[in-house]
Amino acid sequence: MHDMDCREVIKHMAQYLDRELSSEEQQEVQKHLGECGSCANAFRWENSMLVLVKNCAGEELPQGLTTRIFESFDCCE
Amino acid sequence: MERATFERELEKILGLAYGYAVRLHGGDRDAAEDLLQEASVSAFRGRDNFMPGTNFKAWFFKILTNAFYRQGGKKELETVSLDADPEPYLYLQAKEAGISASDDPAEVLFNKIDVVEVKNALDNLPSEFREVSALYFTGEMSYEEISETLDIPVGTVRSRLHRARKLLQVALWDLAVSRGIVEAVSYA
Ligand SMILES: [Zn+2]
Repeated sequence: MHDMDCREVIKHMAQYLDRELSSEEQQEVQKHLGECGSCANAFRWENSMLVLVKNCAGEELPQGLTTRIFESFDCCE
Repeated sequence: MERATFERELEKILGLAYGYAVRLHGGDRDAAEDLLQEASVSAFRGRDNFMPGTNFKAWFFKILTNAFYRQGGKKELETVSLDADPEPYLYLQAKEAGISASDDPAEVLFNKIDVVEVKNALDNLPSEFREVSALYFTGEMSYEEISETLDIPVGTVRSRLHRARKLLQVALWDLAVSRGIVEAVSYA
């Protein structure tokens, strides 16, 4: 294990926020964020953006669509 | 697979699948409904090809994606080239624009952007980035599930997603500038 520098930490930012890093890497990034305010802020911004987009990206299923779809299975059972 | 079991599995993911279909169709809800209908029937017909114990969601989303391209959904060639090195674009722009780094980003920027405009930003991504973004943001999928759905390596998922995020951040920042939420940064 070695300490990650800011460049490496930023490089791992997306995967860290998506929980796609190994637990060892996850810990290293976390350690750096505890010590480096600038990277911590960058992560906060990135995460805030992800939350915004995730909250906006979905759509409500139209009323009755599930039933219509299930009924269409009658033809090909 | 029994019809009832199939319907139960499908119902769990139908909302996410509808959202994904809307994003694939660039916001066209009628087209998305047709697509979901077609994919559902096609999955129902082929339900015995589903291997129990594997991921039903990825299996169904793959059928949905294939149906989209069969219906003539366009797949543009990749024309966007971006730096390979990721950078916290929005954060750097905000800092440059004089927004205090310790401010709550949601408060100073994100909550002021309209939901519809965020959807538009997603829908306006070039198709191969729109595809992965829709699976990630709308379909709530992991890199592994996206890789299974699109039949591409996890590393490709990762790099496409990173680039999609960068494009989205550029779009969101430009939007915030044009709506007067933040001030344009001048690189004099
Ligand atoms: Zn740092």
